[in-house]
Formats: sequence, structure tokens, C-alpha cells
Amino acid sequence: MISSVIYKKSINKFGEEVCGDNFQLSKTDNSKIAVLSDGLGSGIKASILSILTTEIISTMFKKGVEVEEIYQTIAKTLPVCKIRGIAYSTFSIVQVFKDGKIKIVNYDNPTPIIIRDGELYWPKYIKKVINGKAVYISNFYLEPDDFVFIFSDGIVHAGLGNMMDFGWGVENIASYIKRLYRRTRDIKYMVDNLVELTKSYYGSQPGDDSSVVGFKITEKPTAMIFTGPPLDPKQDEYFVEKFLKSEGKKIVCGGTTSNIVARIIDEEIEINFNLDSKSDIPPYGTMKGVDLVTEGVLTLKGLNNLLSQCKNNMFEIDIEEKNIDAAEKMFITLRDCDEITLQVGRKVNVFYHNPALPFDMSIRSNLIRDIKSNLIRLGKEVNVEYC
Amino acid sequence: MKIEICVGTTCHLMGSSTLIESLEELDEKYSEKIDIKYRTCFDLCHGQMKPPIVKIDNKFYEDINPERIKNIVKNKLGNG
Repeated sequence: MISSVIYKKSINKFGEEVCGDNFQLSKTDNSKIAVLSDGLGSGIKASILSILTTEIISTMFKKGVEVEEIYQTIAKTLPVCKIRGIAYSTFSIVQVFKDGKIKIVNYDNPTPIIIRDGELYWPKYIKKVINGKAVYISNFYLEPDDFVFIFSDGIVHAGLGNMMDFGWGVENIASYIKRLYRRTRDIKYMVDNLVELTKSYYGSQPGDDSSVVGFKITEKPTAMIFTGPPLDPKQDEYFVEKFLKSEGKKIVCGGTTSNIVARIIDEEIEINFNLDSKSDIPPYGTMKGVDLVTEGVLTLKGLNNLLSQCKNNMFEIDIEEKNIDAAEKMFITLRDCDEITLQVGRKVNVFYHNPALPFDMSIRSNLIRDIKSNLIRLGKEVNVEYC
Repeated sequence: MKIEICVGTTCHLMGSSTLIESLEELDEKYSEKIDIKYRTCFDLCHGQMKPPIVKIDNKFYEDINPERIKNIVKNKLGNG
């Protein structure tokens, strides 16, 4: 199964309070639909145009309406600009299907840049003329670790008449992205870097709203977290097997729980202790067949704190990969997932109920409830299974 | 000498990371003879032993602090 990690960053035209580019993400049963729109002009007017455009496209595209009809609807719905006498906003649509198929619809935005197998890839576009305007449509397949980038023209025109005669240009951006790709596969880093460079080409005073949306194609967009020993020890084996057979990333959270898994599959847990780490959260490790092994409640608490800090998406926190702690590691793993299953054991650890403990040990079930609601708020699908 | 330090919830809260730091501070003549491993949980803290718990050469020690672990190591390794 294929999915994508999507990250967007925008900068406003210099002196504007709001961005005239808008981005919206929606989901269907078998795909993710991302729409980027650049409204005519800048400021509030452009913002309203682009919000209308993304909203109309997302809703209609989800229902499977043809591009022609969507285009007509937008043309008829958008308010007409008093000065220019036209209703106009550009758009790019990227639909990522679960089988790896990508559909791109592009109308007057710069050509999307695609990296396939480590090389730049320029798919064939079918040109459709609607009301005298050209809309480009392309369908192709991508594999995990491939990338798609869509932009508003603010990025492409960076440096125009200032540092460069004709602006940055799609070709130059493409070769820059390829250089970025050699350095990292981190979508946030790539997009942030592109936007930063755009800003500096504008001399920190952007002449237009500029946005980049990056898509990293991933496989196994699911994760299962096994935390807490099952209520009935006789069922340990059953739940461990269920956990190991699950698709996607596997995280064991809890000392006793990881011992149960290690005992049943007869593998050793390798804990990496980082002496430089200043974190209050116990170290994490790995085990054969499991992606991540962490301590239980403290790590979950740390994870929940991180999740609570995010307002709209999980890219809002900057995490340095170098000195990462267990909660951050789990956070990053979950960031790339669409569906998260929590397999929660109900056996009570008596020690945590010791009133002599000088710490605030909120019990696991409360934490799980908070983590679940936070993950749902951040657009993830979450199942909790008690065992 | 094999030293296994628990880094589970309760041992961590009761200061097992300070044990690791204190072992790092040991003289080279001792540190080259010890092999430190980290363990998730010995499952002994549920009322049987007081954390932090450390396992040295297959024997469990409870309620360890940096001074105690250094002393245990020094005693066990003797002066040779």
C-alpha cells in the first residue's frame, strides 16, 4: 500500500498579512487529494479567491467530477476582480492513490517537479482546452521514496530583475531539488530549504506569495503501538503474534511489554544509551522484527506533550534528528503514518499505584485517551484495541 | 564483568541514568573490564525489590546509587 507524507510551506508577499496561496488536503477511501491554489493578486482578495478554489476543487474532485466541470464551476463562482475584470486563480491538484498511481492536474501553476528513482522525471501531460484555457493532466505511477513538488509562481519568479534576469525558473529549481535529494530524504527539510532560498532570492522581501508543497511517497503508512501487558498472561502469545503480523511500523512501548515480546520471539532488545541526551525520557532501542522499543508511560507522556503542541499538523515542531529522544523518535515515526492502531494491555502495574512515589504518574488509559484524540485532531485514523 | 542496568520507568525515575554516568567516570583500569548493557525491565520492581535495580554478573542489587555501584564494582574487581 502506498501513501504520502505531505508538507507545505508558504511565505507572504512582503507587507501582506495574509497569504494569497491556499492549500487544502482531503481524503477519499483510496486516495489523498491535495490542492494548491494561487489567487489573482495578493492579500485578502487573493486569499479569498484561492480558498474558494481549493474548497470547490476538493469537494468536487472527491466526488469524482470531471475536470471540465470543476473548471466551469470555478469560473462561474469566483468573484470578478473589479480592477482587472476577470475571475481568476490558478491551481494544481495532486491525487495519490493507494496503488501508487499519481494524478496531476495543473492549471497555470509552474510545472510540478517529480523525482523518480533518484532522477528528475517529467511525465507526459495531456492538454485539455477548457474555455480557451489550457489545463494539463497527467497520470503515472510512483514508488516509495519518490517525490513530487508543486509550487505557486512566486517561487519560480524569485530573483526576477534582482539577482537574475528571468527569475529562478523551473529548470533551476529542479536541479536544486535534485541536489537536496542527494543530501536528505526529509520532506520538511527539502521544502523549508526551498522556501528559505526563495526568500533570500527576493532579498527577504518576497514580491509575491510563494508556496511549496512537497509529497514524499511512502509505503506501509500504518503503525501499530503495543503498550502494556495483556490482562490475561495466557493470551500474551496471541497478542504478540497479532502485533507482529500487523502491516507497517511496529512500536513496542513499555518495559514489561517489550520483555514479553522479546521472550516470545526469542530476540534480544538492543538499547542505545545516548550520554549526550539531556532528555528526561528513558532511552529507546530496537529488536529484530520491531521498529522501535521504548519505555512506557513516560515516553507516552512525552509523545502526548509533543502532539499537544501541534495545532494543525505534525510538522509544526522542529526536531533535530541528532539527539533525538524516545518520544521524539515515536513522534517522527507516527508523522509518516495515516493509520495508527494502539494495542493496549490492561494489566495494571502495581508499582505505579504506590502512593510513596514522588512523581505524577498518570495512568496509561488516560494517556491513551489523550493521545488518541490528539492524533485524530491531527488528521490520523486511530484505532484502540484493548487486550 | 557484566553490568546490566535497568532503564525502565521506575528505575529511570529513581535515577538509573545517574548510575550510567557514574560508571563512565570510573578509572580506566576498572572501566575496561566492565561491559554495560541496558535492560528494559527486570520485572522485579513490582513490590519485590526497590529500584533502581542493577544486575551484576547475574546477581541482582536493589536501591542502587552512584556511590554504591562504584563501590560494588571496585570491590568485585578488587585492586587487581
